[in-house]
Amino acid sequence: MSHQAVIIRGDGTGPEICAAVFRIINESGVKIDWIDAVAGEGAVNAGKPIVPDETIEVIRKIKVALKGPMGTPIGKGSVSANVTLRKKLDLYACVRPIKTLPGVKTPFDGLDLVIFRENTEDLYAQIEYYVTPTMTLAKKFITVKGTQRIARAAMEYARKNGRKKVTCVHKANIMKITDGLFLKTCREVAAEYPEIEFTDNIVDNQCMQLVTKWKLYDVIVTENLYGDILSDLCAGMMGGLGLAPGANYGQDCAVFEAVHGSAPKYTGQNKVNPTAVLLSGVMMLEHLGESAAAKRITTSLETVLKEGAVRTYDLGGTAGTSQFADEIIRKMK
Amino acid sequence: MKLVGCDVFVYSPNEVTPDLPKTVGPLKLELISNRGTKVWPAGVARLDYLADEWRCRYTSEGDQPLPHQHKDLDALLQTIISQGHFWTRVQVLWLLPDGSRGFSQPY
Repeated sequence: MSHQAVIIRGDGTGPEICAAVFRIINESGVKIDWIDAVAGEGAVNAGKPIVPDETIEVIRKIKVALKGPMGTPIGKGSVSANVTLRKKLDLYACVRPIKTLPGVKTPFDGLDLVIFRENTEDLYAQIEYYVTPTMTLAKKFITVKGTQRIARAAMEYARKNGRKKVTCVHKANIMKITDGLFLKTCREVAAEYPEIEFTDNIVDNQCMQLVTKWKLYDVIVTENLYGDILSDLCAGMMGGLGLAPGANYGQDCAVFEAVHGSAPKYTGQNKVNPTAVLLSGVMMLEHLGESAAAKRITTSLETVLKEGAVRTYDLGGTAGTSQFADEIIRKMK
Repeated sequence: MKLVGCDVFVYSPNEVTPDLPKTVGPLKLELISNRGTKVWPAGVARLDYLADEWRCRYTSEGDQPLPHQHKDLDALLQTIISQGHFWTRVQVLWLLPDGSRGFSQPY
């Protein structure tokens, strides 16, 4: 079946990674009509906003986008392209599947959990002030509706995917009003799903638990800042950001993305591991109803990783981005 | 630091953008945001739901220092109250010594 999807190739190594991912998805039997859009450093260098209006509009029209790694210019006044996309499209659920992959050695065997991070509230609303010459203030907000929809997304995911337990991560012992509202609202939503165990934990303890008792956790639902930190912690546990896929879901649109940076020092060297973008593409295929193709790609990728003969530098190998893609394609045939 | 305006946070339920005065003395309504995203003047951003508190930013033309400082802000708040609006918080807006804004822009 044929689909349309917006592609943001990204900065640095993004275009070469996306080229490899296009080839693999194309070989999976799914025809995607890719519609190019720009964002990130490339947009800024072309004299445009970091996320041009036309990029927002085309994603809203097509409803699905895959995004390569983007750079955010470092300097005064520069906003994050990723956060801008999430805010302007109201992509409220950042979903990060965290799973150890075959052949990728980590101390965390059997790691298999999914993080649901609220993507639009908390401290990330960028409401910040100098209140005096020597004091600054950032405003954190949590709303009932915003919490209800992320909690419901996590619970629904658990129900549909046979997950047994959802853990709400917060800091309500200290931030009794904001995090207290988040926890209270999550509990209320969870009560609608009696077959799923609901627990909660404070974020600092959760970090410790994740690196000592990771098998106890199944689905995590949390606020924006904690989710940002936990997602990268867990990406490290599964072997690094180069392996970790991500997706951002809104009411109508979804943007699938690599969570790693654009690795500009390797631009044009055909060196970087495309797995994170590829697995994000797999999530996109599942979202499009192409589960068979998604499974085909995942199985081939896992076979290549398990065999270990063709690996990129981050996994101790010497293969380039395109060779790694070639090997995955070869396994699919 | 130079005082150039204020953010007035206005309570307005049922997803109704508050209809606020566009100009009061030297202060002009620059933007309204909801959940940190600009909703007035309307841009491409579209929110699936709107919280019941709205950030309404009033600033002077060209970020000039307010001639009467807090008296200008008092007059703005009195006007807003007299029009039946309920404000929840007010945050003054400063320019930093280098002339840049000491407050963030919404998405």
